[in-house]
Amino acid sequence: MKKRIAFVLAAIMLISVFALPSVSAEGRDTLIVATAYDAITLDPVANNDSPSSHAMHQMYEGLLSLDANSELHPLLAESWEMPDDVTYIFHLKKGVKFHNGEEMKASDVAFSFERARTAPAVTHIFGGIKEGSFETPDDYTVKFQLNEPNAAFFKCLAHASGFIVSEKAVKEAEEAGENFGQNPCGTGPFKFVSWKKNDRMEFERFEDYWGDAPKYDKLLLRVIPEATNRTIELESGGVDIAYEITPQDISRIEENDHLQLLRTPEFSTQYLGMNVSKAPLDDIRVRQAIQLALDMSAIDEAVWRGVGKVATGPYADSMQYSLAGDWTQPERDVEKAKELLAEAGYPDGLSLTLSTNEKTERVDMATIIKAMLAEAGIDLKVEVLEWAAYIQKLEAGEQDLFQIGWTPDAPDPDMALWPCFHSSAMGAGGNYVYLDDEEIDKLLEEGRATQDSPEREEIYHKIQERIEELKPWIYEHNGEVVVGAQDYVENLELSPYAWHPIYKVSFKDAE
Amino acid sequence: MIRYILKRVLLLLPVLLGVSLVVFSLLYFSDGDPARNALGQNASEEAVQAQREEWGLNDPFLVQYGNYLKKLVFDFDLGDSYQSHKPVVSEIADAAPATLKLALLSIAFATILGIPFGIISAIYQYSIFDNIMMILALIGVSMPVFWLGLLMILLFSVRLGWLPSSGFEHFNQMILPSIALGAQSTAVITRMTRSNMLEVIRKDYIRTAEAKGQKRSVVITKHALGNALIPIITIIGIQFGQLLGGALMTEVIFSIPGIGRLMVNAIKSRDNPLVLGGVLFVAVAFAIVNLIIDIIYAYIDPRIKSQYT
Repeated sequence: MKKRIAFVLAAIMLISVFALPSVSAEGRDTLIVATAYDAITLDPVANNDSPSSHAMHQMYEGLLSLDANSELHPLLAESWEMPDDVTYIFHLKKGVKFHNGEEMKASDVAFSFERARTAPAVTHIFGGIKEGSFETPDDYTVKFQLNEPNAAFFKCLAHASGFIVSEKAVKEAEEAGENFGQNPCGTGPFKFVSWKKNDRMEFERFEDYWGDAPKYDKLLLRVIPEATNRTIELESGGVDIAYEITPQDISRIEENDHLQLLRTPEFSTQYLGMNVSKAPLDDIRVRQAIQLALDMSAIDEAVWRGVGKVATGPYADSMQYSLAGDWTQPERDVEKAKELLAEAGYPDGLSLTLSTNEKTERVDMATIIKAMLAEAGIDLKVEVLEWAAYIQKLEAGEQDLFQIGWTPDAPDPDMALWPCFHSSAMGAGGNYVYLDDEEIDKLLEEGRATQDSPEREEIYHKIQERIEELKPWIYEHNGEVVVGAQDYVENLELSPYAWHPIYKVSFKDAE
Repeated sequence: MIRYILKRVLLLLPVLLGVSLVVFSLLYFSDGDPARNALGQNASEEAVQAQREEWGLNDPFLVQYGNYLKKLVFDFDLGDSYQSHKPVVSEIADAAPATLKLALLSIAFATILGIPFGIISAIYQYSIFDNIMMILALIGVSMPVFWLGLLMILLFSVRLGWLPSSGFEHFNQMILPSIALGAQSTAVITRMTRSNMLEVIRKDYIRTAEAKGQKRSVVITKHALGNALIPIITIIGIQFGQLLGGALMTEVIFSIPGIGRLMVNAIKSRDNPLVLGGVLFVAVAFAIVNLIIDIIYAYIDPRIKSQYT
């Protein structure tokens, strides 16, 4: 009898394996996307991480939007005026509904920006708004002022932290003791349905959306941390789009007739930073020697295998006023490096520490850098730290050499350079090389206060040249967004920030 | 028996106190600022300081620990996650089912295969079956789960297309991870069963039972296995307890939203309340499994039952 029961149970188990629907069997009314990391929050001002921003871009909107070429377009704002350098007046689109059915009004915009102004995670973006300056003369006009002129601010209005939230929904969540980041409410083409942490986030089409309705009903973001597995899910049809394809998987997707590979340059710049406030790196000759001892192009090729490219300037050449496109990495010259070191008083070489976090590519680069510097007589100790401890070390200014990256929050040279080089940003602000140069400070302040113009271009050219002269950074790498998709996926636009507007996607056979 | 269980539950309290103290100290003394991590690289120093103040991170160690215990004991509150701002309890409750299912399936797989394999190997010691089993068990113990998992994905998901390689909702998504994770336990249980059975079937009472003309199957299942089972149950319990702590590698490879990934993310982002809550959860789960094992002993072995008074 027992045997028989066991047999029946085994048979049921076996059948159920094949009977249950697999994820890939869902129809083409759903877009399934494999992401590498889960979002942290869906509250626009609670964090400033890329996975959260990506998810929020599908369900929220700002006053303006940035397209793939970094051009600004009106979104929730229909038009705007700037009567002077610090005053902004926005005329809002009428008839825009939030996901809770409320109409978007000027008060919601003022409320959203006031939240962003005071939220610690995004004060570097919106903290410049003058306290108490919001005015809403009517339901569709909002006016406010900045403390100081800031040419980059306008582009920040397309950033996720400037997304417009429903005042009513935020207050309701607060009253109920709930977290708005788990019960979000925006005006975007998709509305939030559910979120299973580290697993999946589900959205459905918002039927009252003011703009072009999405071509599919449901959006599913699945977290698949293992890179190989994202590619496998793509190959086996389990997902429609897979993010963060690694160099070793690229050829597999390219060679597959049913898949397409999409790529676009990122705005990120990875660099080898040198703490100029500390001997011996305070000597420009030592910094020059280190650069001459390295062959960055070879390192880049070995580590990144054709994804992205070797960096040649302090910010990506795809951004405004960048000189990186005109510059190249210097030729490696070990003898010259040794001469410079001897001049600086280190004829027998010297010992330095290179700190880095545990990101594989950074550790690989550090290993090659160590070997190359050894040839010039520099004994490099590589110290691999876990992220939280690493940042603490950089903020305390204890590092010699270090590797990190920077991605500006908006495509403006001010956002790219100020946090990394202005003396007021030393340490915690992002100036981890502890550069304190009056000329750079003055130029950065001028650049921030000058609206886009040939004069502004000149200022940023001067800044980049001055940085190159002082050489606190050795430019390492500009990243690239690499995404795989099924061949039936159309209208997939890639954002240099990885905030891809996947709500625009359509399916080939659905037409 | 009930008195025994109560006693064991009470004994759990000092264990949990010890665990929480150790973990709290580790977090307190480790590098990295939770407030800086939660607010991001760009937050101003003042904002980070204000956050530290709000979370009481500037208080002396004992004050912080005391406050934590007070909230835990009187309000039964593990606090809110620094990252998601959700209660730690609900974060754990969201991740625990996947881990529990994975652990149960793996241990079931391991037990169902491991015990019969062990018995047969022992009865037919040095036979071809025994030798093959022991080689397989050696491979099973030595094969790291991330390697086995990837090989299984390549075969069953990519080549054959039979089973999905990620997710953890439907039963067909649970098969590969359960087998990958259970392989090692299967090997351990097989070897343990074999060695214990070998010891027992040489005992006098087995010979006596056989001499009395008992059927061989009865001798093996009733007389031998019953007596060999205690150490096997112990090892199953230990294996299961370990699986409950989250099987990080398996969870990453198969994209399973379990305790392992939750904890590692929490540690990386210095989400102290979540780390503490997670460790306490694992400690309680481990203790409960041990208690259940001890109770099972009593049902298997009347000698042990007589001690539970």
